[in-house]
Amino acid sequence: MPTATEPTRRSPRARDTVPAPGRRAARTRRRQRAMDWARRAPLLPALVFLIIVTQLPFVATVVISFLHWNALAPENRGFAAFDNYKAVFTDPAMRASMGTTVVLTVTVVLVSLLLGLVLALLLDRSFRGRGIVRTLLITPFLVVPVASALLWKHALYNASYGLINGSLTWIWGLFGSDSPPQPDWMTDSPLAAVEVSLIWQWTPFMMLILLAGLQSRATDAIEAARMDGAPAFDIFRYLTLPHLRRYLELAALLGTVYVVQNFDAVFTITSGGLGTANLPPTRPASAPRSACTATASSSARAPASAPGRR
Amino acid sequence: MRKWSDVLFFFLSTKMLPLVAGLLPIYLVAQNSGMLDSIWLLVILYTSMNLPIAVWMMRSFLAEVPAEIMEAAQIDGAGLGTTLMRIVAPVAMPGIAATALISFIFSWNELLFARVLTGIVAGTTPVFLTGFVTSQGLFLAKVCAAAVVISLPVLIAGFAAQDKLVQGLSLGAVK
Repeated sequence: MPTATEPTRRSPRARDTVPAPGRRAARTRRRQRAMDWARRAPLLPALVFLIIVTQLPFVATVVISFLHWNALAPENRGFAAFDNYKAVFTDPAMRASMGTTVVLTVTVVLVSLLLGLVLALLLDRSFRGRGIVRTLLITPFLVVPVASALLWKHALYNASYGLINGSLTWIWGLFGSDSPPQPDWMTDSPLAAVEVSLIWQWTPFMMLILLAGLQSRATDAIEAARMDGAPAFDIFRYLTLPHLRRYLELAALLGTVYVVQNFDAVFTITSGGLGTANLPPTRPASAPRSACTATASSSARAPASAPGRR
Repeated sequence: MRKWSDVLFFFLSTKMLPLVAGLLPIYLVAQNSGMLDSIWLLVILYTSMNLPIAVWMMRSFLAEVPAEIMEAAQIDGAGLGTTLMRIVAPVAMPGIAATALISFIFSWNELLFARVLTGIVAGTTPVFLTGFVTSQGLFLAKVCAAAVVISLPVLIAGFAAQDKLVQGLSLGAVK
């Protein structure tokens, strides 16, 4: 991380600038050390909290994954070694869902990164109504994912009353045709349907990060290059792109982290009918008390499959 | 110091391990401690989910506070608490707001954990919406109205703070 070494750079300088003969030096050093600890201590509670809530359950998951544990016979618990993992890896649905997750994540991140880059470059110019355009472009990121997935599913993709097929009918109608193509988007290409809605949702996120990058770049070098008559593409290729590299990496990293764990869109649009049928939807979430059996009986699969897929 | 930068990176790396991987133990603990379907369980979980991003964002905002004014405050005899409250906090306020906004968006929108761990009592809005669709799915207009109402708080907050959102999302990449 680029800023990781910053505190190291700052503290020696602060020490050097203090005039430091004798006792006063000792005092400043003590004070410096107190400051260092003051800087570290506030992180500790957060660190402990984070380890307890996010890391320990995972460790527990790993432990459980090596056990025999059937909810119908809870007293019958024992060490299972790699049996559960064998079951997981020989399950074709599991392999298929891992593949789907990889394809989904890579496609969504790459395409939304590219679209985000284009939009950020366009937004970086000044034109009338830029504020409104930017506001509208950010919106998909702010809409509750479940809500947007629902709208994609019902208002856009639906084969009989969706907006896409409605537009197709209208366009074909313009040319006097009575039989426009009416594909059922969600059954014909479920993965693409999910991908498009996710790209729509994550492009603003990428755009925002890249926009911050564009706005932080030094303008004098670009102005100088433009004065010297460098073509616009060369300015982009040799000045803008190298500057943006860090931001592109960051956007890709964060995007991957969030898209891999995506649940809302897949669950809402296809209900996992892609071979992405992951564990959570199979649990009767509305009835927590009775859900215990379902949860525990799938415990053999849950631990190993969960980290891999989402 | 080097080590503590690694700790900072550890914060972010916990984000790479999907919290879902620990869903089952969390569920079992919640069930045994009677915290299923309780809003406080979600509060704890969402806090830990957003903590890494929040730490990194706050770090990048605080790094922008000029060291000179902190040194000046120290020379004038201000203690650490005074420096933080009277000098740093006002300067970093936009950053604090942006961090709060991001955490707000992700917590408001979260579905998976809310769905698995809550039910009737503590169901959040996304959970309500999925349930609403099962019962009213054919009434498209009603579903759309519910979706709009649910999205409205996030939309308003996001529009109000979009400049800060740009800055905040770039985390440590902006100096």
